[in-house]
Amino acid sequence: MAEFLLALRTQTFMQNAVIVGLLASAACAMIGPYVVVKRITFISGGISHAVLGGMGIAYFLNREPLAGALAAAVAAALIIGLVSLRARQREDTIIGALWAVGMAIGIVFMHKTPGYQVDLMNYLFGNILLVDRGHIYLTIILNAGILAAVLLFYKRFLGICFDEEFTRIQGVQVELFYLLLLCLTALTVVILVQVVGIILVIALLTLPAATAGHYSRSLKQMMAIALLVGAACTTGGLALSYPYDLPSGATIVLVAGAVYLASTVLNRLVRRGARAARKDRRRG
Amino acid sequence: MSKATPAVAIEDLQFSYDGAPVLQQVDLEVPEGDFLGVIGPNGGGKTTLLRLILGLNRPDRGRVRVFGRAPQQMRRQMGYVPQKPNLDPEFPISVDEIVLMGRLGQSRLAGGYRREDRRAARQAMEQVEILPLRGRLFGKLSGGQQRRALIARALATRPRLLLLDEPTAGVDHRVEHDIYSLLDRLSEEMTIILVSHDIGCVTEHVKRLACVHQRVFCHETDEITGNIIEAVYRGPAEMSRHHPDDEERSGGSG
Repeated sequence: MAEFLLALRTQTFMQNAVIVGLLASAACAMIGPYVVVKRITFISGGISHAVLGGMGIAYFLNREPLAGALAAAVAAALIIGLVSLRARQREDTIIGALWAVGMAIGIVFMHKTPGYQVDLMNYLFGNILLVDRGHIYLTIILNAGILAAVLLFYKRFLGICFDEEFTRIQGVQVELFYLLLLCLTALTVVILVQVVGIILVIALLTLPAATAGHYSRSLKQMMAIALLVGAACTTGGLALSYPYDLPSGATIVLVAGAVYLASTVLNRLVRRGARAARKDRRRG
Repeated sequence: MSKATPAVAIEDLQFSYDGAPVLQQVDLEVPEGDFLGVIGPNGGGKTTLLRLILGLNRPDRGRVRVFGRAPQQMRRQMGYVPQKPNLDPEFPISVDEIVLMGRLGQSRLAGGYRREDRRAARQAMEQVEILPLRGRLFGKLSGGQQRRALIARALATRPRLLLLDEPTAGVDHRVEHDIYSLLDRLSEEMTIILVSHDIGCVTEHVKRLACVHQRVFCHETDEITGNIIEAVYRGPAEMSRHHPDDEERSGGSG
């Protein structure tokens, strides 16, 4: 812990890593609860894996990989969204196809990129310690966009997640707002790719929100608690990974997984205890 | 002055699902202020009829008018209580947040709900007597309380036309009685269309009855007999035989 604090005080890369980790937690806290209650985890997985295609192409063209990631994520979100609205029966097949084809495109383009070979592992599992100023600014802009959309359309998103049909009858353009929600998920995925990499995105998107779900009475509350849980997991994961030289993304995900597991067990025990107490009262 | 615009007017409607006819040759007029019960066998097209009135499905042929206009344009005048809503019991949402959803169409596009919306939601919860439950989690309510919350959500819209799909399915007798007396009260303020499989109860409360089994025939409640009810469940052909207007049209086939 002392080593981590020292690095945090003296090393720019560690400061950047913590800042991006906290910003990513904020994005997860805003979008994760929607992903969990709307049950679009698999869709988010499809978006995040398709991102590798965009990164590979950008890398091949000698452009900023994150720009490619952003384009690919939004494109994947729109394709999956339209398919799930128009052809519900084949939804999972098409998500699966986009998932694998996106990765294949990325790998082919990276392989054909002349010169120094990029470390594919950094894209797949993330390397938060390579984050620089530019990444932080991009993340702040994306977060601001997500925050604005959630503040403006909170009640519409809530309606779509809770009861799509009733919301449609109210005259809300359900398709439009569903696609917007998927695009916001895509932006969150791009933020998270820097922190934990393409493959582990799903964990940070869902685990803090699902943990928060154990203690929440509203979606707003779920977002607030998910923010605390996410911030603790990313910062805690970084602090844990640094002195033991563990891969940072994977350590963050393991911490988030452990927190979720502990919370689930605790939640079960509390519920069982409450049930037993009720039974006692009835008998007594 | 010509006759007042009916709440619902359906003309020569036909609707099929995956090639199989669900509703055909449907003509139905529901005057404003009516309390119409809709009965018929499962799969007979009751829910589809409601969905067509709501504009959730489009007819293959014929047309649906709600207060003289296309259903999609009149959605803000309609309150809908779905049959078995596909709702997640684990969803972290309180009763008042659900009731407020009845204001989605009328509140502003962006930002939170207005004071006017909160007032309408509060009134709706008072009407169905669930105001004390407003802060409770929806998933933790009893079946009857959940039904009331969904009725309140529909009332928060302040509808001129209220559509209910089996609002008493799966609740006990006391709750059923409460819901029916609530509907009796509401029928003085608005037009109601109530789908139910419980014929006995329905005929006690509604003004008219629509029998739905691929075709739709309306009866005044005082002319309803056991024969008519039985015929509805036997099939469309049998049903039309018991319908006096249709008899004239088809030359007294009964």
